[in-house]
Amino acid sequence: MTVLAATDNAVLVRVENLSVTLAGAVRAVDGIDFQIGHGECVALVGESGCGKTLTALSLLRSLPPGVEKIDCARMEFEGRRIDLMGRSDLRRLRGGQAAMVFQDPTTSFNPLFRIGDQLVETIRAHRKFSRAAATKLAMRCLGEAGLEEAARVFGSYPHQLSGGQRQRAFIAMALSTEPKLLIADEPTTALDVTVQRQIVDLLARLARQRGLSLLLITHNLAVVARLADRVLMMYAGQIVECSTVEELFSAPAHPYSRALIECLPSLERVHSRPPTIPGNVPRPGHWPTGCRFIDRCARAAGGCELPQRLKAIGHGGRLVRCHLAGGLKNRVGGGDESGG
Amino acid sequence: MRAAAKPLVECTGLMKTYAAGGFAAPRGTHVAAVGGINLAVAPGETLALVGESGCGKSTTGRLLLGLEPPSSGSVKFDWADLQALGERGLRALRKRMQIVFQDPYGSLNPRFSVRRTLAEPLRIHLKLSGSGLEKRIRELLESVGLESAHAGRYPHEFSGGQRQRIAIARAISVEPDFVVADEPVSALDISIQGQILRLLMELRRRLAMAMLFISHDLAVVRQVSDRVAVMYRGRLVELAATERIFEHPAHPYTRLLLESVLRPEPWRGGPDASVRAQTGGHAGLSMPAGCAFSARCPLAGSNCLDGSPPLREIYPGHYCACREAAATTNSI
Ligand SMILES: Nc1ncnc2c1ncn2[C@@H]1O[C@H](COP(=O)(O)OP(=O)(O)OP(=O)(O)O)[C@@H](O)[C@H]1O
Ligand SMILES: Nc1ncnc2c1ncn2[C@@H]1O[C@H](COP(=O)(O)OP(=O)(O)OP(=O)(O)O)[C@@H](O)[C@H]1O
Ligand SMILES: [Mg+2]
Ligand SMILES: [Mg+2]
Repeated sequence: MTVLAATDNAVLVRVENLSVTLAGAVRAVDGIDFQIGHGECVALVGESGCGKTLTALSLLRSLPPGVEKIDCARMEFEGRRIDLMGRSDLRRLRGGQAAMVFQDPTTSFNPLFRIGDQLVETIRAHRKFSRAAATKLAMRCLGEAGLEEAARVFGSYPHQLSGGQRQRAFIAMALSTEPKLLIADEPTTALDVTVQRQIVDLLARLARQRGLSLLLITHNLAVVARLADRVLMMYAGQIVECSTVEELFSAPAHPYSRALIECLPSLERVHSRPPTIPGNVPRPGHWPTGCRFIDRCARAAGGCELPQRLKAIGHGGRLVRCHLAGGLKNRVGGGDESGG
Repeated sequence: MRAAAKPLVECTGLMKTYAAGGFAAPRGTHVAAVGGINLAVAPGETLALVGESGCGKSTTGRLLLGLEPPSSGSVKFDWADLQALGERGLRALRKRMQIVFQDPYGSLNPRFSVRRTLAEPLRIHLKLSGSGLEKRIRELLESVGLESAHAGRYPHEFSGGQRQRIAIARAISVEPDFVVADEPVSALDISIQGQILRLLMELRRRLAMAMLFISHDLAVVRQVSDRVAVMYRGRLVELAATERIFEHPAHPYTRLLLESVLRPEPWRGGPDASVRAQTGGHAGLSMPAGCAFSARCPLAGSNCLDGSPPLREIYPGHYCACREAAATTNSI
């Protein structure tokens, strides 16, 4: 068993050997281990289609249609086995102690009800609040999520809001039950930089003050750098690197992590062409038997065609799924040419 | 690139108000989502539209394509007034103007396979069928980094970023003259984002495709756009060539926006000013009498309360709607 936690004190979430299988017996998530401590923010990062959303959904055991099954050795929340929970316990967990902000805005709200009614409903389902008290709390949560016009948003139907307003309203709803864990799947995609900052600061404050734990899925590496304690880098259904934010950004260990960070656009550095990592992620069912990044890796060498295991590098619990790693450190900017 | 003599798309005095929902809004109150915009996009030009969440960007995009009628003002596409065209005339223009919606999932029909989603416009507008149609669908999917083997799948069987790419493939399939791309790369990791941006830039070069590029990601905006329009509470507050906006931002709101960009390396101590003013991302039930930004503005003075400042040219091709900014800009 691999232990993917920097801090071992008071683990809130423990996931061991999680796999997700799609219809047709195709693996989409392939043996994932991780832990999240109290008040810790763990970011799950990786290429589009690598299995981040499925991993997050499995944690709450919500299977979207098209997914056949979830397998795991164990999944724990505060020492309770999520994988063995019955329906009613699961329902209490979801949206209560473990809330999720979905990537897909259309599934977030019911289009037929006003935003405010949905918030009040959620609050009262999980906490013993009068309607008036729940309304008051709902308004406060909307304000905290950066919605100045909380009253208008409260009374609006989802389609009457802009993309970013809807996203903030959903964050407000997720936080309204005072969860211990927030799973946030791309929570800031529709937000401008000033509001983005506000949300990031809000989440950081909740982590500090209330010990809120976060599983943060995002493509925005600046948000990762701001908020996360540790980063799980995912590629083709597996975790390929587990590092602290500082380690990852200053010396990414896995060639995929490094290639990704080299693509980072910045306001100051304008590339003549937007950089990309050449090639495509292999899709589920077509993963190579060895390293799954092999076809796109500039450093592929003998040994890469063998299955790669997560190995520890350094002493701080850092893990990398690359037999060459360790010798590859400190070479950011070493010029993986971005081809066409 | 400036909007040249003959713009492809042009709007004047464009306004849209909606009835407001909510108990704080008495009956008859309205949200001024777009409050009077003049804008022109030249053929082959990429114009970025940036601004706070809720400031009216998506609404502007929908109005420019005639997907909704404006409350007042007009939109011309290739000299044709969209309002005057009527339903049939608009339908004839559909091949030439396309949209990538901000919410790709909501815009894809859940009961249509990807093949059917892509085939429909190709059949109607390009009269493709049989193997020609199949070949084009394959090319399109591959151009956005998806496998042609996925054509038979339905939207819910894709990841968020994959759906976004399907929506992009659909928009570019008929090789339109003008695309409104509303946050087209927001759900994509930076590598695939790069791939999509290259694709869009190539279409611009090859087909002179013009684009209204709505995005919160200023690094991406700097990469792809020719000009940038900055919007605040339903109005344009600044408009200039991309380099000009990033090097010499004039409007205090534009400056706030640029200062607020989160940096990936906070511990390296780059420029990372904290947000000075509280945000207020909405079109506002009640517009303040003067400049809408004055409440948050470090430069605000008494003459800012005197009506909404108009866009003025403060440098060739650089327009700014701030009475105070013009004085300080060129000293940078
Ligand atoms: N309901 C489903 N049915 C069938 N296949 C699915 C389903 N959901 C996801 N997949 C496939 O499983 C893989 C992983 O999907 P997932 O949504 O977890 O990706 P992701 O990492 O969240 O990507 P993104 O960053 O684009 O959102 C993808 O290849 C996707 O096509
Ligand atoms: N159908 C509608 N009914 C009522 N109000 C609406 C409607 N559509 C939009 N609005 C309001 O108009 C304003 C502008 O919305 P719009 O979607 O254009 O913003 P946006 O700039 O695209 O924001 P975002 O970046 O969050 O997507 C918002 O305050 C929104 O609440
Ligand atoms: Mg996802
Ligand atoms: Mg929008």
